[in-house]
Amino acid sequence: MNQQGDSRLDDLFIRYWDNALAPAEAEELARVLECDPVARDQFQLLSMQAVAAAELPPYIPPQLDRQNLPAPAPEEVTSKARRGWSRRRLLTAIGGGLAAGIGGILAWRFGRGEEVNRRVKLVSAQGGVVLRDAAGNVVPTLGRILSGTTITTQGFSANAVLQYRDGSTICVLGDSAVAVHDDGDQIQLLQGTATASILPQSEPEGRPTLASQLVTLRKVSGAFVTLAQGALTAEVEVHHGTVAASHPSGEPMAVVGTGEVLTIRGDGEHQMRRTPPTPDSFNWDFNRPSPGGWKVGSRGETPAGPMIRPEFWPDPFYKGTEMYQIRSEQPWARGWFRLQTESTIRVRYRVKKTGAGQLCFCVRRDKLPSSETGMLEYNGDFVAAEAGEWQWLTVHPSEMLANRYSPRFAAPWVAFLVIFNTYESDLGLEIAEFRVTPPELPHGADAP
Amino acid sequence: VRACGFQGRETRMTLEPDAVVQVLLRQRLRITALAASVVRDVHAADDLFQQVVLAALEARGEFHDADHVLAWSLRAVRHRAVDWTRRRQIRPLPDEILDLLEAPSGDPVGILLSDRGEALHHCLSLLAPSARGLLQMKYGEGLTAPAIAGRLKRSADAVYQSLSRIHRCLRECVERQLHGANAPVGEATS
Repeated sequence: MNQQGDSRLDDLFIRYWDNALAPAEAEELARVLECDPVARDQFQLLSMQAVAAAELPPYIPPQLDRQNLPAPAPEEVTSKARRGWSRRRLLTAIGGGLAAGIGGILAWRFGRGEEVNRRVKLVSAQGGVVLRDAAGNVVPTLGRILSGTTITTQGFSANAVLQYRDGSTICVLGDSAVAVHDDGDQIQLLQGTATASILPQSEPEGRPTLASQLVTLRKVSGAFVTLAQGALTAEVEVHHGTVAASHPSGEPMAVVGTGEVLTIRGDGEHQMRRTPPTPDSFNWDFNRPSPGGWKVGSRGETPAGPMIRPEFWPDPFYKGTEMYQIRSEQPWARGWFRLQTESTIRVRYRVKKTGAGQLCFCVRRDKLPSSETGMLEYNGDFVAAEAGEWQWLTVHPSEMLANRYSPRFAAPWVAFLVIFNTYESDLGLEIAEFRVTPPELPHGADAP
Repeated sequence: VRACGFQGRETRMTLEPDAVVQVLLRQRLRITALAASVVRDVHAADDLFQQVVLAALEARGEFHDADHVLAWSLRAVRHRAVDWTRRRQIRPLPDEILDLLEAPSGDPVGILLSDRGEALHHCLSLLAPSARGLLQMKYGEGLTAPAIAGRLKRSADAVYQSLSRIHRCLRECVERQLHGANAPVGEATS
């Protein structure tokens, strides 16, 4: 099919969808689909476009407002008119491509005689997404969002998006879990990270409360905020708007505004500061007794200074296969560092025996809000030197794009997860330095 | 996957429910799109997909592998979609064409469809709000082009042309995404 033919099929598809094909046009469509495999491929893709487009938020033309929006005449609305919230719906998701090959499904369905969540729906899921009801049972298939449902995302690139009727969204990111209560009025972050983009709400009852173990954000309205709950601390980072943070007891804590981040410790102590920008230069400080940022890996000492060793750890990307890895924490919102294609990454390492390994960064778009992620991978050998000498690995992000999950968005990228992996072989890897420098700085310059 | 059967005899692998679900999750867009292409109603297609998933779980002991699940599901949703159109006296596509649209899951077209699904959602996000709105009115709200035209104070032909242009822009954007480029969708506005 040529471009003219492509456009003709688009026209026929749209009219076919409206049951508005003349008999000759119906015959033409049937003939094209029967004889041309490319046309059939295009027809399938058009159908996919229709399915995906059906999940877009409602649109109000700018020349109209909600009060004056005209309803179409009954004879113009076919039986396939959009059903209201009283009918069950199935919301779509993109098939997984970045995670372990597991796609996600959006589902929202009313059960017979069961309490259901009518206000918020699961509209997108990527990667490993599991729904469990209040009893802990896995909700099969398309999952109903009942009150008390827990949504768990697994994997660095997994995410699930909850959407309210007005288009406000809550995105559950990476290895995280949230519980939905009271028709979406209460969202409990059980672990991990979630971003909330809540449109201005004129009525107080329309404002959701977001909470984690250590902090509660009540009646959020007109704000874009990231909430993170780790093992020891919680963080509230406001990208836009203002939120009122309080202790779980209800005692007021702080008002957090645009560009501010509130960090809360397990004992309730909290600190507020301006949100530091994601740096373009980075130098991991292994001198700290408990170096911040390593979730998997053990710190050790060498005569030349501290270093990090891998731990034998079940990697969910490889279906729980235990591998020797060093993994950072995942500060999704702020990230560890920003990468350009020609940034320079330098790693000082040594191994006891040469073997295959990889250095990986999980990255997201530079600008929020966005849940898109990708992977930068360096795959090569960690080379053992004589007498246990240290080696330098130098690589640029432009050399780390040859993998299936490379980001489908341009640089700059914000790296929020760093992984060293030697798979199932213990090479005796030790990492003593990890530096990132932007393209304009020579690699010897000190990073801040 | 759980093996069953006596040691030494040929074993038949059956899929656990979670495995069946995950296959259907991965192929959800493709299966629903097949149903939607028949019934021309996305929400009805969604319901049909749900029915197929439940039926697949009931029949999970019959599936050998993921390809089997997909092939079975495509056939099942097609039958349900055709029944749906007949109950509503809507003429479906001819059987020989539906046979062709049910491409085997292992062929290159099947692989491309799953990758294109991911690229498609990205490209939808790049559309101008008015273009997204036009698509949502058409396929989400189920409005005909004349109904949309009445709402937007435009002619039906203009709406048809806009929709055609948007579909083409999405197709081109998806192709660019699949080939590594990261160009914007273009002037896909209504």
